[in-house]
Amino acid sequence: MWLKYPIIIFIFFIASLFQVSFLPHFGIMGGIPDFIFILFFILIFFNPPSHETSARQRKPNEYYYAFFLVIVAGFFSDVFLPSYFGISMISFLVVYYFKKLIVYFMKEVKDKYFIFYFIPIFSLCFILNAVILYLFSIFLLFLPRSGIPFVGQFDLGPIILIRLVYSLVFACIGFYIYEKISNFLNKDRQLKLL
Amino acid sequence: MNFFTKDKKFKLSQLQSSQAHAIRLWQKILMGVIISVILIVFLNTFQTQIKNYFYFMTAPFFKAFWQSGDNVSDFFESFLNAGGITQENNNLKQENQQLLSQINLLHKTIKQSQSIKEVIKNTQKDDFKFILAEIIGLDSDFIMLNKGSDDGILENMPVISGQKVVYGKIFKVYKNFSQVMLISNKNSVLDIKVGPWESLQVQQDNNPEKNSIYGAVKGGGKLSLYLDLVPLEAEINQGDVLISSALEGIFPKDLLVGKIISKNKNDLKPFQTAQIQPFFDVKNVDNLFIITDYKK
Repeated sequence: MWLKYPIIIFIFFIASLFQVSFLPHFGIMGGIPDFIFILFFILIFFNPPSHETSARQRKPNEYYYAFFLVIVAGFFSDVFLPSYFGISMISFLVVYYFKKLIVYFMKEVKDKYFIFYFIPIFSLCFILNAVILYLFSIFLLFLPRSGIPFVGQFDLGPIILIRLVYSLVFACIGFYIYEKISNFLNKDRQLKLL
Repeated sequence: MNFFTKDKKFKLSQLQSSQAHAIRLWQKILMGVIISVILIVFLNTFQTQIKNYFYFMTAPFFKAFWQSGDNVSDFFESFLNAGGITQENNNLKQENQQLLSQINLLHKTIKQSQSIKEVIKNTQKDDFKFILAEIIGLDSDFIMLNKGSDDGILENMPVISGQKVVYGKIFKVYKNFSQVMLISNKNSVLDIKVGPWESLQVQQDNNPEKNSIYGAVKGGGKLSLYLDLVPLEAEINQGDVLISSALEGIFPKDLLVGKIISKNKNDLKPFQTAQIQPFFDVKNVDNLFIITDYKK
């Protein structure tokens, strides 16, 4: 289903506009949810739809899919930063592999308590993303013509917790929405023998 | 033996397959890294153009989202702040009252400044010292001023306005207040001289004493004045202006008193009289000047 790729690009585009122009009016002590990260994480959290590929091809497709998401999410995140392209892309790539590492050591669960696996993994990945961006802002201080306004935009402090909680609320909503959509798309259309 | 060889060959083929798979995987990873680096370099080379074009294309959406966000947040803010609106309203009312009283005070100050400027301008040639006072009360033909003995006020000091109009004299002095007897008081008598304003100007330039008609302005009570003690042969006319003559020694000369409205000439009486429209207007003045020292 090639149509999902332009749809994903369009959704990220809307999410980025929403984050930059609509959400600033609803900030809590200056913190707003990171819609791009939420969308990215939900998409990588749920593996590519199993109906799309055979078991043999699934693994390579998973990496292509993740690569595509990293590029798209990273682009829309970096376009609003007053610094270089690629910073968010690298951060999202690290988050992706970190998530894979965590999930590797966890028992695979797909039931009604799945949300309780989603929340801590999301929180850890969100903080990791914030730390990576903060480290980049420190690193760029020492580079000439690096875009000084970037520095200070990602502070590690109480604001991270506010942003995390705020993002978590929307992430949980997005989780259930995606689950419903995913279940609808994966519905077994075979007739069942009674 | 054949079985052992077959097993060995099978394991060898498996190993070769996994090695090939690993090589293919590394090739894919390397390809991915190269593509990413090329993409990042490309994006950063044309960073300004890409971002500018992106902002240009999304500007209408930005505006729409921004305005809708503003409207929605205002809507919810009204609910969240509902409890504080009453308090804020009361605070604003209080602040408004304070500001109004401050404005009132400032207006007073401005008026005082203007009065001072006026009196300085009008008394440039005179050798007077003034104290500015405010009218705080009016009772019959007496007014109360907010300056008293603490300010150097003494009885019989003349009281005028900024336009050199005579109001009266200090009648009684208290510590911080003074009572002024207006010239309209029935007990007041003021020596004046009569003449048309233009002729008075000519007199001041050429012959100050020629054609001067002298008389006395007496108070008629209830803020009214009348002219008396004008000789029958003197020609006084409607519209003639009366000014102080300084003959009684209390009021300086050339202070404005009033204007003749109508004259009353009776051959059976030794003097002619006239009704006067006074220049002083107690109800529309706030600041007066007490002359503390003048040279006769």
